[in-house]
Amino acid sequence: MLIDGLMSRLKGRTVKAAASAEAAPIVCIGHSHVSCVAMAAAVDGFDLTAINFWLTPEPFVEEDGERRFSPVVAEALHGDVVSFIGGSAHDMVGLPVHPRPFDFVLPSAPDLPLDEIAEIIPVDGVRAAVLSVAQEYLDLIGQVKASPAQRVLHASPPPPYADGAAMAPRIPWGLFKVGAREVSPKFLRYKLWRLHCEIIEDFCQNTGVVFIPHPAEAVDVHGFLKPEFYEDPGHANAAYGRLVLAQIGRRLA
Amino acid sequence: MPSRHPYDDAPGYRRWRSAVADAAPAAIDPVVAMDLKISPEDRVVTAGSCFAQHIARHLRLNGFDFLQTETAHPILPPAVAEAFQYGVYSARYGNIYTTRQLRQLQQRAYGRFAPQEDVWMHEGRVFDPFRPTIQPNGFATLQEFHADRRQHFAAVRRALETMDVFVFTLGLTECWASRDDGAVFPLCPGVAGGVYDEARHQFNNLSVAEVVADFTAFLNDVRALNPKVKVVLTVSPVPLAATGLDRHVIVSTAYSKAVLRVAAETLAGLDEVHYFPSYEVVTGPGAGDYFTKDRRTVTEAGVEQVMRLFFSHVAPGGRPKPPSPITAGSDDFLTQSRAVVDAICDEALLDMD
Repeated sequence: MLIDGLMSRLKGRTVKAAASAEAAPIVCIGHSHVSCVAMAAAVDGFDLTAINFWLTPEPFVEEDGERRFSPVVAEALHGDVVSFIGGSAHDMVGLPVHPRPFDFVLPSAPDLPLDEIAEIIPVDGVRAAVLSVAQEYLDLIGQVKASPAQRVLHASPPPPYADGAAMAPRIPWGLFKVGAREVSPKFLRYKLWRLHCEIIEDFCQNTGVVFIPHPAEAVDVHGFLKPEFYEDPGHANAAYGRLVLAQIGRRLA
Repeated sequence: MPSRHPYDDAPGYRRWRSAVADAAPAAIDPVVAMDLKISPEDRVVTAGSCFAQHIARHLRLNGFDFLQTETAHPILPPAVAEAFQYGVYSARYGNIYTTRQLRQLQQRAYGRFAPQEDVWMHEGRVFDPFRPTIQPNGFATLQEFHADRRQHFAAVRRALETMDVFVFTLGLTECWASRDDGAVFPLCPGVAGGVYDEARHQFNNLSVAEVVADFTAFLNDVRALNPKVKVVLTVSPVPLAATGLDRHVIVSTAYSKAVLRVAAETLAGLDEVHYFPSYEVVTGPGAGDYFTKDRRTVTEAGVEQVMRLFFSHVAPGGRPKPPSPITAGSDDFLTQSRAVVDAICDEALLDMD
């Protein structure tokens, strides 16, 4: 029932135009991860107000040295907003194998396998590295929270896919000239993803944004994305997006 | 009528008037001469008390091959790498104040000694009793602590086995040790971690013989694997921050520095062990006021005078090559990895058409 209710709201502009003051529009906003819910909406045949920055001409403007939403994006930030902003910092730090392979101990799961031949970096340092990449996206989430939007939610980036060999052919290695052009070991990618999620969740807690974790049914017993939800090396697919929409529905019910 | 005597032909540097009283502060050169020469190709390892950090920094700034075997990983932001003390010394061992601590590090790195009081816990964080300030707020987990220590010991072994020159600054004689097994701590338990317990910890004040024995044993073991290593010993001019004895801190400082100076003189009798008078350059009368208002911190001018003399005597060639980077941040990985991930994100758009 929750998902049905949500779907009616996700019809977005149509529903809003038709009447009801009680059903404010839901806007999904962000970078490429927003595509999973957009694809789910398209597959299921309903109209989702999704703003994908990659498809939006000039989504940002520079003001006093700070990146801010452009007027066209800012005007959409009303009602309930679900952010899919950023979400790839863990991949930027550790999707390809680094020329100096590294690993770390994740405090929330300290017994996960450790690559004995890799260089071990203190987790506080790894957290700083991920944060240095993620900070610009957290700042944008903060801007959403400061907008006229009523409720602001942020969806976790999807879990990593375990099978690096299956991912490798779809990675544009031509852009990567500093390493071995291999996908990092799955547990390093998993730990980086979890660390990234912890950073995002901490930010959300501190700023009053509702954090939506990944759908539990989308992962295997080890926490990796199940094959049926895999889209490409960095993203989950429409089936995953459907699960996220259900989560959003429960949160907003 | 006076007869001829041994001072008649003594050079100016042996006479106070010409060497000190009539000399401009910057011209006072207690070094006079050193047999040791360091070339740009020599791999130099530094260790010691906090004054040794200045030596390491200036070696790097002057382009010498400051050997670093435990460098910051390039993904670490530079400020984080610095806070985690990468690049301060050749490996991440922190300040080594006493020869006992130096000898102990070597023994631990080669698995010959495992102190019983091996880890300190505080509010869920893990601290290394033998480098309690090596990174802000200690380690996050015991697993990380042990993994990092294994890595650290390997880096220490690489440094000791591959260095050409070892510059060690003798800092203190006072130290605190475990009553269980004699393990010495760089800082008294309770100061920067751990809990002081009179039943478990005892005060030591090393004698000349102990300092000489510690360093000799250290050097013998180094040379068993690295026979050609040359050594430069200095004594830190920095006074004690506090003394563990019930007497004035100036008195304890004088005693410590005297012990270390005599020990250094004794050790300089060993083959290829050289004494460099940092202590005298900074504290010698007429040398200039090389301390800040706290009368303990050496000014940058004092450090520069020490290092100017050091380089002019052991490396007269000057700057052999551009300074090497201190820490992380010069790696292209993050930039290119980001381009890869952004391209994947671009590709995702195709599926939406």
